[in-house]
Parts: sequence; structure tokens; C-alpha cells
Amino acid sequence: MKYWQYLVRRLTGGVVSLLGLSIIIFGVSRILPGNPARMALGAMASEKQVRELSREMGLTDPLWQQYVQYMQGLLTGDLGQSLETKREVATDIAQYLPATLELITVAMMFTVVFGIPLGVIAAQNKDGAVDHATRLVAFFSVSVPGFFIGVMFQLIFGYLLEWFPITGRLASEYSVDRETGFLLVDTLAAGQVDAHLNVWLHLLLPALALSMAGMGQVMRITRSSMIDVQDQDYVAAERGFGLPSWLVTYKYTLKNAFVPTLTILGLLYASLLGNAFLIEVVFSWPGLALYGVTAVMNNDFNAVVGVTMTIGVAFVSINFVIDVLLGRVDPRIRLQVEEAT
Amino acid sequence: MTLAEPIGDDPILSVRDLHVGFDSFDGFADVVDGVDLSVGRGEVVTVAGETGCGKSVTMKAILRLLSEPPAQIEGEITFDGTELRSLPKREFDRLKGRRMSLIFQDPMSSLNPTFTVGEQLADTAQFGGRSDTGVLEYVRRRYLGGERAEARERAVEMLREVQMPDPESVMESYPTQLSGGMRQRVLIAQALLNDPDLLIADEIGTALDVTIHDQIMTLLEDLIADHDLSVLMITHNLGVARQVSDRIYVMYGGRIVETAPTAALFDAPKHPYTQGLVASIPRLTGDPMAEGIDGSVPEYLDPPSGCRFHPRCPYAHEACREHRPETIPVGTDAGVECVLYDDRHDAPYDAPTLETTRAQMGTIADQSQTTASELGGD
Amino acid sequence: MSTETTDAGQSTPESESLLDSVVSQQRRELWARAWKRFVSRPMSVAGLLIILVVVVAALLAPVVAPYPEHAGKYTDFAAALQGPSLDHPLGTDHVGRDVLSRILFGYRLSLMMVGVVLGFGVPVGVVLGLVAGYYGGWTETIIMRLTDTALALPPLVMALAITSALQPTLWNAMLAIAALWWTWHTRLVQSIVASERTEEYVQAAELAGAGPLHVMFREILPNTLSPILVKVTLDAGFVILIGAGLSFIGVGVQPPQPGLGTMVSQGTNYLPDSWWFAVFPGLAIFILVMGFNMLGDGLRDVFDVEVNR
Repeated sequence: MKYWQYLVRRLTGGVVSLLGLSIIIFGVSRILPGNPARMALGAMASEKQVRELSREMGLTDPLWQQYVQYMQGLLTGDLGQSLETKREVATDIAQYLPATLELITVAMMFTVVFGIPLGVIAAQNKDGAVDHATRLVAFFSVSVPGFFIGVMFQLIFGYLLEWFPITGRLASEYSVDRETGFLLVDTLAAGQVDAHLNVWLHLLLPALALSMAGMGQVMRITRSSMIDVQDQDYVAAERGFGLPSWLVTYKYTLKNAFVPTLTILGLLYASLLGNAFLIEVVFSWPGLALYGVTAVMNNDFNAVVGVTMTIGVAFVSINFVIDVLLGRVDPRIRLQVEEAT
Repeated sequence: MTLAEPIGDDPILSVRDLHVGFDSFDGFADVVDGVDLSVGRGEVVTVAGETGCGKSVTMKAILRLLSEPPAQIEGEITFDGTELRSLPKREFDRLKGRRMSLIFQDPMSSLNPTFTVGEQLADTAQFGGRSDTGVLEYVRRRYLGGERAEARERAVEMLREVQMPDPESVMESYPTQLSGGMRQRVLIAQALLNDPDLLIADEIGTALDVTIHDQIMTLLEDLIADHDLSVLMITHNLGVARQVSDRIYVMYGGRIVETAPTAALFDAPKHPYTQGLVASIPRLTGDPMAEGIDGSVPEYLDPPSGCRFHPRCPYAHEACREHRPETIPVGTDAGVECVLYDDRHDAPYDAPTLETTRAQMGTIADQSQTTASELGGD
Repeated sequence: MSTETTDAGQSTPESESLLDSVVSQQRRELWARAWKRFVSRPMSVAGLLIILVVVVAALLAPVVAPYPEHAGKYTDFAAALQGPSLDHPLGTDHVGRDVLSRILFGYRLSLMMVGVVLGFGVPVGVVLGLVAGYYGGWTETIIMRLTDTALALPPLVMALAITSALQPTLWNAMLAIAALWWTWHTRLVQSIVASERTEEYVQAAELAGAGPLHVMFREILPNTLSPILVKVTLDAGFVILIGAGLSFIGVGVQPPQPGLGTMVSQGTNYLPDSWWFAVFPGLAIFILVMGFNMLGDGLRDVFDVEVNR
């Protein structure tokens, strides 16, 4: 089997998972007690109104027809109306998604930019002070609730030290054309340097709080794989040929050590997406997660489906990208896959 | 002229009274115990001995590949007139990649699996021995201008020289896609890229099967001649040593026990250990030696007193247990560390010949086992 | 299962029982050695102590809490938002309830959630994992595809989606998490079984006529116990975090019940002046989760197993 065939198979698996997910969500919404039409209209609506809306929503059709309809909607991006905002769910998602992506991307950046070098340094000073410190940080970061870190950051750096704003994405005195929805990009494109810096100020605390959990894991896994790779003959050989030691460490050793790290970046993305729900609530970050939480609280089912499926798609795509990257970074994985079949 | 420098006053590498010890959990282990050796210009020298005799540690100490601590290194190592032990790291690195080069033991594990052969060779060609290259300089010379293309050309040239079939496509291959023999050729090419004066080779080719191994050794002989290399080779395979080297050091228990020009060593080995080795070479193949000598390499935490070989030596007597023997010169270019050749000690035996040892070997098995346990060798 | 055992016994009664006793003795020695190694690690012992203290305090909350009546609907606005004092070591909340007492009762809810989720998730997951790994083929494909689906979303999001379809209550949150949790154990056990399946002892048992149930539960299962134990310990911390997260968002424990996450959420409205209201419940979560992680990490070293969270 060629590597691309393997990738296609993985992608198919992902799509099947998404299909399963849609069935679960559909099933949960239709089989469980509680009429969606009743929920949509609220307790005050009359039986007649509910019956009419039920017919309108197709709730009286056979289940499989309902599912086909529901899937048609999902596939064409027609996710129905949000009960809360009275707008198309797809429109809402398009509006809120960039804020979440911006937050997660910056958090991921922090995770990688701090986590990997610290892991490398810890590996080079095995059992030294830095090493012990990273172990403690890692332990701390997987044990502390994400939202609690956010609250502590707000308390210390927001309320007490007043270094950073506590909520939101941009101070109200700035107005920016939301071309892409990514404020870092938009402000820069418009040449508003002040506003751009202000966006960073708003981003820093939530992104850092979000990145904490993953940072510890990345540090530890980078450390342990660096230690494994450092002992390999080829590293000794590269040093023996008198190559610059930074080159041996950060190019030749790290690329090998990067494979396990890359494998967990997929899992990490999951935990980032999950924790984003908490962090967005803490920092009132107007993103997809906050929208999703609001939808859950208001029984806004179309919106919940939209958010869930969006995240499912994001998750499957990220894992696919990581599969592609793995094959590129480590030819051994490609060969293993190709030889295994 | 001492025995360490039998090749004239100006050896390219000389090691004097080298001690390497390791502080371990169970105590101090002196794995290299006062080694003297030298490599003359244009000379091919082999250090031979069983696994665990300290030959690899000697090599690593020369190349500064041991981290201190846990290793403790003492002694003098001179390369082309420069004392290496006191040399600052930066200058040592410059020597290491450009004037000294090395080939590691296992071709399977000595190439980086995640980079193409071309990338590794070109980096070595451009930056080997230039450990002071900064990130910016690296990026500039790696990606801008024609320097990279030149380096790759040099790498292809070198692959051709090591008789690599289809070198251009090998440049684009990952090590996992190459056979063991091809990888060994890549490693040799990599070692010779920067035109070193001294090549240090650890167990070259021994991980390969016999036919490929022979090809590689023949290739190496040609390359040594073409590039006018001085070579310090390390092997446990006396057949390999015999094929390529001018002179051989035999190492046992962290000490050099005998040195002689290759022909002389094989014709008339002097040290009982060397005799045992030579006697146990299978006639046709070059299989690992030392199966004929009973017992095993000594523990370094608590080595045998006196001559470290005495628990396994068929000719051992009182003096061997009490003092470390002195090195007795034999002619101008050979020497042996054994009391049997020391006129001041009256050995109870005559110096044995290869034939006597060969005859002995049938009978020493049980005898030496008892001596080993009696003398607390373990 | 008992019939399977006798079947196996009939073929070679003596050798079978002899083998059994040797095997079980080996296992006992293994566990004894594991215990020794465990005790020599201060971290894991500390983790165990933290857990024990919290569990005992939570169980005895009605007795040891200074104000047990503050666990539920209780208001004393005169005492609202008082800082830490001798009367209220961790201060009071926005309606005058003792934060320490509520934390102790909050621990009960967290531990109950751990018990329900793992009590359901682990047995189901292990059995499905055994079946998938032992039978392979289509059975395996279907079961593993199911786990992949359940893992297609971050657990918190999945739990959120399920909870939203039902009603946001503590029980539904637990149900949602439990409905996800078996998948992790299915994956773990399946991968172990798939490799154990070809081991000699399994083949020997099959040759001796043992049925699939006997092989799965009596032969293979004991070899999966130590990784499962490690995973369960690490899981406990994770379940607490997810539960607290759901409560923080507002879909888990509902006020006036004293959920730890709920308390942090309420407390954030009174930052920074009444910091204790949000900070202490948050620390309480952290300490208990840390305890489980320290214990789990120690166990992982003791049993020398590779288990990720």
C-alpha cells in the first residue's frame, strides 16, 4: 500500500467517524424525550402551535427521512436557524469561528514555541534544575483545571497588576474592518499598529492559560524522545564530524525526536478545543465555544449541532494533516506503512 | 625513540599514558589503564582486542566523545604536534571535523534516518569541522548562492569514489532505503568528504556479511592509498587487521600488551594472549577471534592484580600476579608487556612459541578456569 | 464460565492446577514487589495520602464540616463574602455560606461522579476491549469504529453536546461522560489483548480445551489489570477535571448544590475583592486531581506500563 492510499484510508475512517457523530447527535435529538418543536416554542405555546411547527420541521416524517433531510442540511452547510440569534447557524459559525481559531492558533504557538525548546533544554540537562522544573510544571499543568488557570491569570495579571485587559478581544476605542475575522490579521492589514498591539494584549492571557496544559505534555514528551535520540549512534557520528552543536541538536536530533511530539499534537488539539470552551467563558471571548455554550444553555439545538459538527470536522482534518506531516517528517513511518501491506 | 613512537619522531597521533576510568554505582572502574600508542604519517595502525578490552573507550577518549564526568580521563594525546587534552573545545572541534574523521561501528545506526543521504553529506561537506557556524551563516550558505550545489557535487563525487552505484539517486534516498553495504559506503564517503589526515575507524564492516565485508575492506585499502590517509582502526577481527594494517596493537584488559608490524605479529606473536588469538584464527574465514582462549575479559571494578591476563594465561606464575610487567622492546618497532621476555625476571618457562601455545590450548581450558576462580578474577 | 474451567480441567487435571498455582504465585510475587517499589516513592505515597484524606473528609462531611447545613439552600446575607477567619477558614460565599463546608460537600459530588463514570465505563470498556481484541475481524472493526466515533470530539465537547440534548443536570452530565469513557478502556484493553492473543499461554489454554470466556477472563484479563489500574487512577483526575469544567460552564452540578466548578464560576463574579470564593474551590479541585496524578504516575513507574491519559 502506498502512503497516499493509507492517508485516504485514514481520511475515510475520519469521515465515517463524523457520520457516526452525526447519527449520535441526530439520535439524541430525536429519540430522547422532549419535542424539539416544543423546545423551540417554549412552554407557553399551545398544542396546536407545536403540532404545526412539528409538521413544518418534518418531525412527523419517518425517522430515516428525517435523518436524510438532516444530513442534506449538514452537507449543504444549511444548519438551520438559531433560536437564540434568529440567524442562520452557518452565518453565526462563520462569524464566531475566526475568534476561536485565532485563540487556539496562538495558544498552539505558545505550546510549541515554549514547550519544545524547554523540552530540549531539559533533555540536555537531564536531572538538572531545568529538568526538575519542567517536570513540576508538567505535573502542575495536567492537574490544574484550565478555567482555574484563566481565573487566576485574571486575578493576578488583570485585577491586581492591571497589566492586561480581563475580557474581550479588542478595546472599544478601536474599530476595525473585520475582513477575515482574525483581528491580528485585520488590524495589520489596515495598518492600525496600536489596535494590533491591543489585540495581542487581549490575546495573551487567554492564549497562555489555554496553552498551559499542552505545554507540560509537549515538554515532557520532547524531553524523553530527545533523550532517546541523543544516545543514537548517528548523533554521535554527527558530532564526530564536527558539525555545529546547535545544528546537531535542533536539526538532526530534534527532527527524529519530533515524531512522538507530532503524534500527540493531534490529541493536544483536542484538549485545546475542549479547554477553549472553558477559557472563552472565563474571558468572555466571543468565539465559537462561547456561542456553543450559550446555545447549550438555551436549548438552541441547531446551533449545538452546528458547533459540534464544525469541531468534529476540524478535529478530523487536524488529525489528517498530522498523518500527512508524520509521513513527511519521518520516512520510516511511510516505509512501515507501505511495507505492512 | 620509545615504543609508542616507533615510526619516527613525528607521529600524526600519539597517545601517552592514557587512563580512562568511570565512576559508577558500584565503584571506580579503570577501563583504560596507561595506554601508549602512536600512528605514523601514512601508517595504518590497528588496535585489536576482544569486546570489552577498552579499545572503543580509547577511541572515544581521543575524539572527546566521552562525557566527563562520569568518565575521568588522564594522559596526553597529541595530534600533529598539538596537545589535544588542553585544547579549547572550539579549536578541537575544528580539528575533529576537518583533519580527523571517524567511521562508526554500525552502518545501520550511524546514519540519520529522517534526512536524505544528500542532505547529510552536503551538510558535512559544508559545515563539518566548522562548529562555530552560527544560525545566520548556516542559512545563508545553505540556501543562498551556489555553495550548496558545489557541496552536493562534492558529495556525489565522493559517492562515486566509494564505488556507489547510481550516486545521484542515492543522494535523494533515505538511509532506510539502502542496503547495509551501501550505507557503509555512504559512511566512508562522509568520513572522507573533508579530506582528513587521520581516519579513526571503529569495527568497520564487521556488521556486514562476509562478501560485502571483503569488498568494503578492499575499497578501504584503495582509499587509504589514494588519499594518503593515516588510519587508526579498531577491531576485534584479526583477519581485518591483517588485511589492511601496517602495524597492530593488541589490547587486553585496558592495556596494550603487544605491538609489532603486522607480518611480524602474525609470524611470531610473543605475548601469550596474542599467541592465543593468532592460534585461534579460523583458517579460512575471518570470524571473530578469541574463542580459543578460555575465560573472559576481566572485571574492571576489581581487575586482577599484576598482569591482567594472568588468570587466563597458561604460563602465569608468581611474578605475574605481583607486578604489572614492563614493556620489553623487541627490535626497534615492536614490544611486549610480559615478564617472559624480561631478562631481569627469571621466568620458569622459556618464552613460548606460537606452536607451544597452540598445543597448550587443548589443555588450558580447565586449568585456567580454576586459576581464574582461585585468584579472584571475578 | 465455571463449565469452561472444568472443561479445561478434565483434559489434564494435575498439570493444569499445578500450572495455575505457579502462575498465581508468580502474580502474587509481582504484586508484592510492586507494593515495595510503590512505598519507596514519596510522590506516589503523597498522592495516595491526599486521596485518602479527601475521601475520608468527603465521606464524613456531615460530621467534620463546620457548617453542614450550608451544603444546600441556605442564606445568611449578613455573613456574605467574608474573608478567611477563624469562624470561616476559607471565607464565605455570596449568600453567606461557609466555603470550606461547601468544598467538602463538593468533593462528595466530584467523587460520586468519578465512581459512577468509572463504575460504568471501565467494566463496559474492558469487556468490549477483550471481545474486540480476542475475536478480531468484523467484531473488532465495528467496536473500534464505535470508539473512534466517540473520540471524534474532545470529551468535554461531546459531553456538552449530549448534556444539551438532555437537560443540564448533574446526572445527565455523568451519563454523558460515562457514555464516552468506556472507549478509552476499550482501546487500551484491545491493544493489549491483540498482542497477548498469540502468546503461548493463551494457545496452551486453547489447546487444553478452554472456551473463549475462560481464555478472555481467566487467562488474558489478569495480564491487563496493572495497566487498567494505572489508567483508572489517571482517569479519576481527568473525570474530576471534566466534571468541574461542565459545572463551571453551567451544565453540571446546579446551584444551590455545592459543585466545585460551580463555586469557581460563581466566585468569578466577585473578583477581585472576594477572591477566596473562586480561588479556594479551584485549589480544592487542583489538589485532588494532583493527588490522583501523583498516584497514577507512581503506579505507572511501579508496574512499568505505558499508559497515556
